[in-house]
Amino acid sequence: MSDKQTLESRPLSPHLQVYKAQITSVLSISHRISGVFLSLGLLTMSFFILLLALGKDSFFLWILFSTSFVGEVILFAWVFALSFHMFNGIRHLFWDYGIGLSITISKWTGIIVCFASVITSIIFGIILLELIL
Amino acid sequence: MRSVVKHWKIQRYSAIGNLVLALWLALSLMCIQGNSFEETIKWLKYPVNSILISLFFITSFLHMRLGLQVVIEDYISKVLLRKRLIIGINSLSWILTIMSIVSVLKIVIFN
Repeated sequence: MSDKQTLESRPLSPHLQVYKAQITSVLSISHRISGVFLSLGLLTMSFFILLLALGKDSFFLWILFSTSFVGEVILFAWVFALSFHMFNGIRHLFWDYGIGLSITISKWTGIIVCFASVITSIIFGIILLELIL
Repeated sequence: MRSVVKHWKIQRYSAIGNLVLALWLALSLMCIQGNSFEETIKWLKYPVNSILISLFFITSFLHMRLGLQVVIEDYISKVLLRKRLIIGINSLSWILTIMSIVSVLKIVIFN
C-alpha cells in the first residue's frame, strides 16, 4: 500500500468514553493532551525570543506576562506538562525497544511516571518561589 | 525509506534531543525568570546558550509537527480537512522555526 492510501484508510482512534479508565489508557491520552498543550508552550517560547529580538519595548510584554500571577500559573502548568511528557516519553522510548511492555510492568512504570512528574514539578515550583521571594 | 518509517524515526530522534534540550531550557528559563531585558540579552549571547536554544527550536518544532500530525490523523475523519490542517501545521512550524533562529541570530549579531 502506498503512503497516500495508508493515510486515507487508517482507522480512527476508538471513542475514549467506551472504555473503562485504566492507568495505562489514562496515561496514553494524557501524553497526547500534554503534547498538544506543550505545543502552545513552544509557540510561546518562539514569541519570547521574537519579543527579545524586537527590542526592549516589545520584551516588556514578556516581562509583564511572565511576572503576572496568571502568567506564572500558566508557566507552571507547562513545567508540569513538560515533566510528565518527558517521563512518559522515556517510558515510550523503552517500549520502542520492547522493554517493559508487559501489563504489570507498564502499570508500575505508569505509577512511577505520575510520581516522578509530580515531584519534579514541586521541586521546580519551590525553586521558582524561592527565586521570586 | 518510506515516509511513515521516516516519521516514526524522526519522532524518536527528536524526542531524545528534546530530552536534553527542553530540560536545559526549562532550568535556564527558571534561572533567568523575571530578569530585565539587558540581563536576558546577556544570557542569550553566551555562545552555549544561543546554540542550544537554536537546536531546541529545531528539534522541538520537528517533534511538535510530527506529534500534532498523528493527533490530527487520528481524530479528524474528513480527509480534505485533515490534509489542510497537516499542511497548515507543517508550514507554521517551519515558519516559526526560521523566525526563532533569525531572532537568535539578530540578537547575537546586533545586540
